[in-house]
Amino acid sequence: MNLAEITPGADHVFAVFRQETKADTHVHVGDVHAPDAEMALVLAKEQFARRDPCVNLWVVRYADIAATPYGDADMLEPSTDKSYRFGGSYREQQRVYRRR
Amino acid sequence: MALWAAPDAPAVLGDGARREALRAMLLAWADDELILGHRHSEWTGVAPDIESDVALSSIAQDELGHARLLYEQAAAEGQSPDRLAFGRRPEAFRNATLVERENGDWASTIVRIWLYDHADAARLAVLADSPLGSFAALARTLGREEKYHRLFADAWLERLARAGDDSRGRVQAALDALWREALAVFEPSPGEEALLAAGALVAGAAEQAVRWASAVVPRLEALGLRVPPERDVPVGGGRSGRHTPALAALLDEMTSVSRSDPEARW
Amino acid sequence: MTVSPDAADDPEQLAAFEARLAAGDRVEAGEWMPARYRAECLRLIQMHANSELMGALPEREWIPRAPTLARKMALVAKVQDEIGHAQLLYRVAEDLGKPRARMIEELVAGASKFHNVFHYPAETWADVAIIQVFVDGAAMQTQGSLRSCSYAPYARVLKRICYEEDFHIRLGLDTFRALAEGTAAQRAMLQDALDRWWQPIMHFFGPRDQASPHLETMIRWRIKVKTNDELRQQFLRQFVPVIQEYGLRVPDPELRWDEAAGQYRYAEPDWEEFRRVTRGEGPRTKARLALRQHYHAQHRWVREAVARWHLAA
Repeated sequence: MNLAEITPGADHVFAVFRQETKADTHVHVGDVHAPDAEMALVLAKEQFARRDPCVNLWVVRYADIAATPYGDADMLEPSTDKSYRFGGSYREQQRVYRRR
Repeated sequence: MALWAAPDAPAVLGDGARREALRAMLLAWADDELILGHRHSEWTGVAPDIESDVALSSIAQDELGHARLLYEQAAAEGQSPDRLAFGRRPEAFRNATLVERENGDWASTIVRIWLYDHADAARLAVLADSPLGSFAALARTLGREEKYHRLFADAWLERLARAGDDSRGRVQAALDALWREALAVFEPSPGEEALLAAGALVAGAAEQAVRWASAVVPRLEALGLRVPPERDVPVGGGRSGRHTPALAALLDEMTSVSRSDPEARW
Repeated sequence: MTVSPDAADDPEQLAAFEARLAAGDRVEAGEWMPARYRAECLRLIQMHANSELMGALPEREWIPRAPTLARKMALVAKVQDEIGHAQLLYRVAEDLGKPRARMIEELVAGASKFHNVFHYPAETWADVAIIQVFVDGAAMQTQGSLRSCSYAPYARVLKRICYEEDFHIRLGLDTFRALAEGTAAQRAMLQDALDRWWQPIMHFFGPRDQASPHLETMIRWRIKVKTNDELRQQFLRQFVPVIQEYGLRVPDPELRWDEAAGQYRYAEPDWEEFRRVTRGEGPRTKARLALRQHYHAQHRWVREAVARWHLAA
């Protein structure tokens, strides 16, 4: 689905992503109404970075955001045993490291 | 620590007359920032859109903070920033008359921010080159916040100027009304010649005005705006304490609570 | 996506919805929800957003008159936060199906509600301190409890709002203390402000709890988490000691702690006044709406210019 199905006027609502430090990824912190992306960046700075540390900002138009529907949350969660993907189900490392 | 008490001050500034000249310049600059910050703060809660309201509030806080920093520098023994801000009569103020005008409409507000913040940039660029190290550092500190002010003003001016005849007409009218007062931001403070002679200032107000005009005129013309005729004749007097009635009204309101008991702590 | 709140919900979906909520799940904007759930959330969040925009008005009157540079900057920052909260809340409300521009028009036209407290005047500088401590303090009770509401987007923005509201109360206490420990005139001004604001603050949480099917549904759906009386008691427990700490007089002479009942007893507020005010007949309702109308009209050319700009962009 596209978020324009939920948000009225999704053409001029922009999701704001803030990167706190270069050790961090950009995180979605909220949205601004703006006529265009450049203005969205200017306005996002004060609405979303006036107290929080910030080295970089992104904005993305809501009309451009594709999303999974919440009805598919069941699909997003595995229902059969996937323990083979997790290190904890393999015991050899513990045995070998203890030997040293 | 006051700039003239800095270790490199005696070498650059030398005598009392030059220190007074520096103090006068800092005071005028502080007054600009206080009065403009006050005008910006009047938009809190009533700007055209919620996001711009928040952004302009931050700009207001920045200017008030700059005023406080500059008053700290300009203050004589026993004077505090609050006493300088709240304890002087209008004729003692040295701000440019541009900043004391009432806000007017959004076009007027944006044009004033744009003209003033580009003027401030020209002023800061020169001060950042001062051989007086602490002075240069102060200019660079303030410059970082001013960059955002210009970004905000540039973005709004461009959109209003290019969104059609009605909005461009309003912007043009504001420009016609404010240009010559903006030029008067560059009226020199008393004693500027002494600072130039001492090398504490690398370029005076007249030179700063030229740099400002050569930066802003092409940008205005690119937006389809016209710089008013008599573009070189400032309308001012603020640096000598000659103000419009708007300043007295502003200060009367601004000091109404603090004057109710000047000895009280708030 | 406007659905009448009275539209019949599909019974299977409604049952599944209520089961999920009972299991502790939350609701997102894109998920199915009963028409009444959607309508109640929109009404609540829109009123909250309106209250932030209107709440800015009493305090902004004092920005030009703040008595020191520090107080001036702090007050601008505080009112800025309220506008910022309105921004966050309208954004949440609009995803329930009403564009922000329409909500603002309804507010400006006097067609939509905002909290009682913002219909009252801020007559002196001391009113600013009282508002920051007691009005923001009251709002904190409600906002804090709603952080566990079922509508996830609202719960999420309330986290930031509560964090900033905490700053407001601390700022308020600083201002409050300066007045309480100041000159006789300052103390008198503070007591007078407290006296005038007491009733609106007691009204803030709404009328006394009364069992009703409506209330029961709101609680089952976790749109309401604590009742009006619970929140009012919570507020009194936190803020009556503040008044006493600074040697001020609690404006209600009947107010006392009832140890046996584990709650405060107080004189019954005038609920007729509350009804009048929330109907739009408060002392400053007309003037404040007129101010918003004035600026809304003044800025119409800006909105039109911006609309023209982004059509071309």
